[in-house]
Amino acid sequence: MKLDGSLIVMWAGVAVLILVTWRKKGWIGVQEGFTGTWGLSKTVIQIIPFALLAATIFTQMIPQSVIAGLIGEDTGLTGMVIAAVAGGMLPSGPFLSFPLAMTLFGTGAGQAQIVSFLTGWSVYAFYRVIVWELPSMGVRFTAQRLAVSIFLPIISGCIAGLLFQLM
Amino acid sequence: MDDKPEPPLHRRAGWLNTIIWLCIIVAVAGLCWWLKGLSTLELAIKSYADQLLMLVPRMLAALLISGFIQVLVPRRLVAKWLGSAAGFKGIFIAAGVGALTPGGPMLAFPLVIVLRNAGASTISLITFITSWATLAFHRILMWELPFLGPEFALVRYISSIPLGIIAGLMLMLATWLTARQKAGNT
Repeated sequence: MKLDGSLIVMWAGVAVLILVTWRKKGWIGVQEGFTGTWGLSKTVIQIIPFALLAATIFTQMIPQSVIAGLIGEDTGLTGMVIAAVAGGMLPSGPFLSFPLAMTLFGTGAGQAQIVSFLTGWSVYAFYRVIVWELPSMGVRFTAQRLAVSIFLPIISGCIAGLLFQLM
Repeated sequence: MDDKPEPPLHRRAGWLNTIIWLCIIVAVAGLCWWLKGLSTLELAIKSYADQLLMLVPRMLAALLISGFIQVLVPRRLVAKWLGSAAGFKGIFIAAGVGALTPGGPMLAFPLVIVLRNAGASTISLITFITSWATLAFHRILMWELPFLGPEFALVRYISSIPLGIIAGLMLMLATWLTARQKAGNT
């Protein structure tokens, strides 16, 4: 039922945004919004249903005990480090990382470790480094950014672990 | 920035991606069948159908929200704020702006280059990238809420708020230490 609440909030958000766009930018703005949505949808339709299926089959194949042993609730900092590096090595955008995180939920992975996984994916992002950062910002900048980012997945994992315990 | 029309956010993907994913599915499904038998594969497909059913209405709302935010957020103004910022204030501004920047790397990195050319410091740029990567609002709406639910999304968001600022402060400290060491050596 909680999830149904989020669905209502999201659609209310859609209504508010369309209204604000209409008041601020008129019908042209609203049209632009729908055009942008369609552009985004094309990407999503072409990838998501397929990536999700692949991720689901893949995680179904790995025995739960293996996942729980590597990044389960009780694995603590070690599990966070493993999850963060695994996340960083994912060679793709959000269309794989979030479905994968979702499927991890049911397989014995700890919530704090999933936070580390997502943070590792977003700050290490070795794929993004190779495709975007190195070519556009250079080696020095990239090395500096990675150096100050090393501990970030652990920090967020620890904060999240505390918050989950409080909830 | 000049007055050229802003580029659309996602243009990279095509049906080629779909074909690649179909090949991956066939490979993974074949492997699953071979290693675990047909029943595991059936289980996976059932769980996939459940997930899809939950996902479709949320995804549609998320896409509409992203589409309209794209229209409402003025990217040119964003570049101006960050370009002139510096020091501690710059780190906080960069973290805030990074969290508000919509779009994937194809949008964020061109923006980073523009900012660098406009004189933004490495410290603000790294803060910006970290904050954009961990907090970007559109990604939470489009991916995290539909896939992981509001409770998890909230906790992850709160635990990621300090990350961009920590990265910026660490680099600031490192820069300061290096400068002091150099001054000490000469």
